Amino acid sequence: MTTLEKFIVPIGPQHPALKEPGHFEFTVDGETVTAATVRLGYVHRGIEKATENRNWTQNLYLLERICGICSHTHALCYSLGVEALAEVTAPPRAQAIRSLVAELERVHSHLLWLGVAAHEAGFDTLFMYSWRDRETIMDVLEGLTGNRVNYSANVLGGVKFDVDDKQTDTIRRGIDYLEERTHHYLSVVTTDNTFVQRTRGVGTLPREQAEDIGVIGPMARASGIARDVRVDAPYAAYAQFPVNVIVETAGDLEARFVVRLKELFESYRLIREILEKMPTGDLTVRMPRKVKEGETISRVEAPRGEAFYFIKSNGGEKPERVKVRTPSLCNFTSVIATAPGHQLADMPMILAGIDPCFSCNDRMVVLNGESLMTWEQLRQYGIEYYK
Amino acid sequence: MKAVLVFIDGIICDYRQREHLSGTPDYIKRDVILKDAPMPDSRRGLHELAPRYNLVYMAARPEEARKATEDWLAAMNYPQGPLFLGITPADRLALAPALLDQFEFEGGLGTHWEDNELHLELGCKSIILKEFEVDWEIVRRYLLGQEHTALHVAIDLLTPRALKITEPAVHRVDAYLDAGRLLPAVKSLHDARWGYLSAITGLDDVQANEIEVLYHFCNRAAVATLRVRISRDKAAIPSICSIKAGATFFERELSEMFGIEVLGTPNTDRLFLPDEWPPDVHPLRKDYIVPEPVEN
Repeated sequence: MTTLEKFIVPIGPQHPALKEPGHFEFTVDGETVTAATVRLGYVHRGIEKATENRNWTQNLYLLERICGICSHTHALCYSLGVEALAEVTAPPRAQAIRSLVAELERVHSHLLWLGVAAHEAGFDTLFMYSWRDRETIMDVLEGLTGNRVNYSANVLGGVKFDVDDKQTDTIRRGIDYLEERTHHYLSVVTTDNTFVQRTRGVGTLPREQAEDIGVIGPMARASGIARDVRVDAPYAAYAQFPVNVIVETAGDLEARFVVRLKELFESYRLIREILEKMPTGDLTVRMPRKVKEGETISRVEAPRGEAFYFIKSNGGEKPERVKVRTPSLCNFTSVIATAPGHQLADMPMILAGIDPCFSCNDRMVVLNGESLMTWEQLRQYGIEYYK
Repeated sequence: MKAVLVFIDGIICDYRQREHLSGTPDYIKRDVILKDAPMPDSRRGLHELAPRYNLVYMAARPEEARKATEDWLAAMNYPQGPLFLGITPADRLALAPALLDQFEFEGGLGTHWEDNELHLELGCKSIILKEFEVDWEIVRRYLLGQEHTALHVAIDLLTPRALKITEPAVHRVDAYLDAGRLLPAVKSLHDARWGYLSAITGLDDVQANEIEVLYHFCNRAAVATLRVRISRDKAAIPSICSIKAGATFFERELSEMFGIEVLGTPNTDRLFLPDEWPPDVHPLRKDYIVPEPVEN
């Protein structure tokens, strides 16, 4: 394979919004992408190794900082795993609050993604509106937990705070507002020409291939695979508050937008139901300092898909091993699989479609070994191409 | 969420230490009750049910023993749930309307055939178990049964190729393989369209001078883990990318973190470690000590 027309997308590590910056390499033949590879690691922090030298409680604080967007997911996945090893179950009210915060997090994450994806398509008005509306949920989360990011809701054995009537009202009002806005966004995304041109029939991942690669989360559900850990292996309070899995069959970028927006409606419904039927009782249950020897697997449905933890205890105060597999890692494969055959101009949207845990402003692009493009220029290139 | 009625004595509580006091007031004294032992496996059994069902406890104890019983349940770390008391089977049967008012029962666990009538009245599965000899597999089969099926398919597929098969927890099967059987085992799951590859974990066992590599496949609630032990010296394992293309990222991570050569893997570039990282230093091996921060 000649590398004369190699086109590289390296992503700068210094950017405040980057969570998992990556370096993608797309090989092009004229306008068409023929191959793609990925390199990660610009903010690799050695977290798995670090867990081996911290006690069970310290690790909770460490692991919830793996990701700013889905921090509660990580803390929850870890807490549930450690509780399983210790043969402890958090009380029903705590589990409900955990699910509540998880759904609030899903809302903020999907709205964030909507804005970012809109920005990639050059649709900055949608970006601005969705991020403005996202402030509603950020305010709710701050009022409930004290933080906009890293809610620190979990303790091993339960949750740290309660939900009172005043907060319940605030949450309900916020959700009502957002639901109305989400109807509008769904309509825009499926009818606006700018969008539809760049998403309908683009980046299609057929169901067979999606099964083969093993994609998870909204990527899988957009390709007709009804896969959602909240339903498949209910955790926290999801058995009590069952989730309706949102599935689309087209498998293209448009389907990925539709799935995430429809999931917002489902989250709003769940949030209301949890608030209405919140169980009474304690917020925590006693946890031993030393955790029984054993191995456990814990899975939760993060906004991006299944987060997978394998935790091994040797009976002590510190874990023997904590293995963390974040959802995006599974879905990068789908970019490699769907990119070939598409135009260069489709790359920004295809990447955005997997909802990767990084932002775009610092990426640099080298085309034909000669000209240099920043990500911003590539983004513009895509917008111009589709005008 | 449905409920499961759990009769305490003989199923989760081993009260034999106070049996000799039966008939005397001391039998139900608080500090005597608190000395009862939890039955083996019962805590795990109930914690497995807790995410799926509301647990409702029942005991053949008088009202005076209520507080002690509730405190015992909490002290023994059983999942929280309400406690209903009825000394005779007739007393317990009379609780049915109150129970039905609050809960919809999927099943009831008891040790006496008389409780069968209560379960029938509650309209649920009646699981009568042998006092002090509870087989929690029966409980799992009938109350967590649906998910159990996918697991058994995996067990059937993997047993012919495995050195050993264990079920370490509900919905989980571990298949111990040698490296030569790894690909056939992966292929058997793939051909049967059993689940998706969710993660690959490395475990460094310095004492045995081996690294254990775990391949986790998920299918709904079931997780099948293939486990292969390889020597730490010249550590090598075949790639499964020919069957599961998505494994490439996991294999790259495994390779750089544990110093395992993954034979035939399509991309050997580093995934997470920086380019300048020394080639023979593998951070997740136990003998790699993270350097202390340098003070100025």
